[in-house]
Amino acid sequence: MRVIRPIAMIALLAGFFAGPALSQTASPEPLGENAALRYWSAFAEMQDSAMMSHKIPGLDDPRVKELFDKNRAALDTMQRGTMLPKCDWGIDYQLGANAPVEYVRKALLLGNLNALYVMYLEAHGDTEGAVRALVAGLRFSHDVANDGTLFATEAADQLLMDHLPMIANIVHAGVSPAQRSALQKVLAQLGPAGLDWQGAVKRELGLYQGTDHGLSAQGLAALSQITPLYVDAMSDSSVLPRLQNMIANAPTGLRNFMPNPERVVEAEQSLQNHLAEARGLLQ
Amino acid sequence: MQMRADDERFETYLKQFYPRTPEELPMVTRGRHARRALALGAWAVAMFLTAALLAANWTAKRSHSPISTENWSALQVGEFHPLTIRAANELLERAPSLKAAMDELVLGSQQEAVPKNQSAFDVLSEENINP
Repeated sequence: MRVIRPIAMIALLAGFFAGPALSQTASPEPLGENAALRYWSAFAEMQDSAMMSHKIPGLDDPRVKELFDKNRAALDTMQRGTMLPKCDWGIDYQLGANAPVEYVRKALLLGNLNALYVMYLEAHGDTEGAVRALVAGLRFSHDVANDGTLFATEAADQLLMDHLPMIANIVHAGVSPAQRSALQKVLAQLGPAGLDWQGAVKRELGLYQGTDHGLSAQGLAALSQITPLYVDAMSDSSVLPRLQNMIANAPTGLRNFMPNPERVVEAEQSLQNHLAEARGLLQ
Repeated sequence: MQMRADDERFETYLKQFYPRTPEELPMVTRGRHARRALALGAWAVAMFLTAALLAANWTAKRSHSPISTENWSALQVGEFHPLTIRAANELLERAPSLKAAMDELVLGSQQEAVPKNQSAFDVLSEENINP
């Protein structure tokens, strides 16, 4: 007994110091299996993305081909990233509204580039490549919203809306059963709403409880009543008038930065309609 | 005869010696055990802390950039403000539509990179000119 006690003490001490290191190495999911890291690599590989801000002269223009040649690595890296099941952007919510979300801007650029690439491949008869890029683009768009606030979800919505119309073009041009199946599968994975709107609303309104928003006690009380109704509005638009009325009567501090629920619900419904339409085309 | 006398003398000499009574064994006290364990624990902690200190110092030395602060200021060609949730929400609030907000977000960042009177295709063409 006398010998066991000091040994146990030393083992406890060693465990105390080595514990965090061991827990990191014994993690079931390796950090490299995070799609967000691949996407950041793709952002770094993007070249001449400034071109996206200018009118594209035509898909046959040699400079367009050159643009895709230069960005082939970025697009391929993004495609490979979409194969990973987990995407964690690591948003530092401890910083409240000052949390950096630069990845959204980069994702919009890369997503737009990919949508254009789908068009380019389809126009040049490469249906296989176009379907592959389209499937990746849809998955990537969905990943952009992961664990984000309303802003990231609305950006993801915009990217999905840029990609979805291309399903019609590809289907009309003719797709093989395997290509049709790949498109059906990715749409099924997106789910009926396409994005986690309710989660985004919760995270968004949760930020306003932070001290950096400086809400008064009345503001915080109003927020606690508005939040569940806002979340409900994402699945039941009939509560929208009541929600708007509640926001209109909220203290000015809260009213000033409360996202317009009408705009959010409209975006959500529009995406749902487009998804339903695309699914219909693939039946 | 001489040899027997020697043997007897030697025997007599040896008989002077007697086995010593053994001393009592020292008592191992509980306090001594605790002190030893404490010393061992302290030694382990000290070793760990020394190793951690050395590792931290080594990492710090490795990460020290060879670029001087003067060079660093020269590298900062323009101020870069990363997009934050607050800035993004302000943009959404200000923009007439979601699409307009997203366009402004993307185009805004690119306008800083490309002069207004020069198209991106021109920029790209210039890159291909060999010196």
